[in-house]
Amino acid sequence: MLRNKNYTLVLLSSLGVLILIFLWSLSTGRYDLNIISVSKLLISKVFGTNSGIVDKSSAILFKLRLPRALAALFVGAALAMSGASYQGVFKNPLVSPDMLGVSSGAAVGAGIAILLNFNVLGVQVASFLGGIIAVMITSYIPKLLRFSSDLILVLSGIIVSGITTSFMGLIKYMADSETQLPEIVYWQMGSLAKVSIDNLYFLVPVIIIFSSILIMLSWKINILSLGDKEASSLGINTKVFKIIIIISSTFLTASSVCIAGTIGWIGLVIPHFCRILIGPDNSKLLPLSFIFGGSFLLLIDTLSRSISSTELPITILTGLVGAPFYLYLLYKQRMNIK
Amino acid sequence: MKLTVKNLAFSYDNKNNIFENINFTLNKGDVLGILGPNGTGKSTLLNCISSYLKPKTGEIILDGVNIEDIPARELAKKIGYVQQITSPTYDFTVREYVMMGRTPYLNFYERPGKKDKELVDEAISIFGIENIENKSYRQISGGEMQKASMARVLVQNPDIIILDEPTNHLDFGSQFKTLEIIHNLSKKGFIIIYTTHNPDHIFMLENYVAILNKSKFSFGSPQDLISENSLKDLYDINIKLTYSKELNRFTCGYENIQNLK
Repeated sequence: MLRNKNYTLVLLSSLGVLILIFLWSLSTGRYDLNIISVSKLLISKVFGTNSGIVDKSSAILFKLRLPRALAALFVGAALAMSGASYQGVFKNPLVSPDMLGVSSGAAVGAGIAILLNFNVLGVQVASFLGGIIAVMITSYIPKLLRFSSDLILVLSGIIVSGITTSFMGLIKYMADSETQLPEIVYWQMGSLAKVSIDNLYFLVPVIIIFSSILIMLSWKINILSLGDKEASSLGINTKVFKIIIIISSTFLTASSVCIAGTIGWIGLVIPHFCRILIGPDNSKLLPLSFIFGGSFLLLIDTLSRSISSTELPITILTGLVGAPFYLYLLYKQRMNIK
Repeated sequence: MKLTVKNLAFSYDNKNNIFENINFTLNKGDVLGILGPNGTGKSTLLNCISSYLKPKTGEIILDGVNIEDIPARELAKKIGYVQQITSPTYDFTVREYVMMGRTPYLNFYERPGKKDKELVDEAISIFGIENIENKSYRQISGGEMQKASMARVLVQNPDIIILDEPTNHLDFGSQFKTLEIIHNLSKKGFIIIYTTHNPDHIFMLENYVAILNKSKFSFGSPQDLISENSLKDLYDINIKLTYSKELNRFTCGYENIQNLK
């Protein structure tokens, strides 16, 4: 375990890896654009100088690849960070935005909004409401049964996901098969293909605001992960902190879902991986999950648009990479999981 | 520091009281050991005193102020609660775990600073757990966990320390080492309230005892409250109390198996 080694070193090297993946992603695609040209274009954009590179390259980089790469980075970061926060607050390493029903709830909200022809903001708000309702139902079921355990919480998530899947079916059934249905289906499988620079104006500030809130409260997430009784005895108002953290995480998930659809596995696997690297202290775990989540989705998205002649939905690759990787992590950690 | 518990009663269903008419006062340096069979509400009583559970009636007063009127963070600077040993979900190191005791002193978004780290160093050295400070809290022994929990409550720096069955799951030697820690903490001026299943522990630590049995509560000195009859009533077995001149206190002797009942 690296946890006792220098956290700053781990953080800086993961940032280095992120930058490399970012540059690689920007230079990958049908139109030939190498890393050097990409770097030159980026530098000239930042300093307002002339790069001497043809306008077509510049247009492809700044209108297509950069928005998409930034979206992948922030969506992946948001999903991983919300996953890490949910796992802390629910004191359960098995929960993730998808398992708590948040993603599918947000998908239902967004689906309804698409059905009703809402604009981007409307879709975003609807998907947030869907997500928050889903997580409220999931966390209320154990209380309703008066039987609170890690397992019941996960099972409640399965129940809620089951219901939302039915709702999603209903929405697809009611959708216009020519226009709305393909949009809903494609988007449900997770894709960043339609991301434009306009989406980023909305996505990036929301993710930065709520990630900052979570990082500010990361020490409190450690305390909450000890359970309500211990947290209360340490002077924490558990209800207030839980509400702030769950709402922030749900905002992160919902804004990701409405931009990129439902993308599985990142919220579950990345926090696990980072915990192996630097331990469970959330004040280190959250920033690292942000960087790793961003790098991972950027990598996956670049692969999804480059390994075959047609673009693959992201969930296909996150599942293919995430599930076996999670199996490996469980194998590595089997002694630590009760 | 003075803790007064007045007419305390608690009920989970608002009908049957788990306990009622609980009255006692403790001053600086006092130790109160609570005896009672399993399921009698000892932990519930501790949860009420620590304000985790709201009593049905009665009040708990700290230096003239009802604890209900003290904000949670301020209360955590006055009352430290070491619960029964449980394993945290995540693999925190002993040091990280001890550091959590500083939580009441940190603002909404604050993280532990240099001063907190120094206090943690000090507590870790008081309990002699430097060798395990970077080990996972979940992978140390029961006795070490108890020491780490005590170090955590020490950095919390409360006036009152509540311990729920601190000797539970500990080997024979560690049980007495824990009692020694409790004794030393009381000498430093902490008010200590703990629960135990062993009357000998009460005799060793002297001071006060409370017996909680079938919702009845009695409070007094061990000599007044612990008798062969009261132990028979509590545990439904025959226990011989013998005064040891060498130890200068009573000890419990257990009948042979045939004569236990």
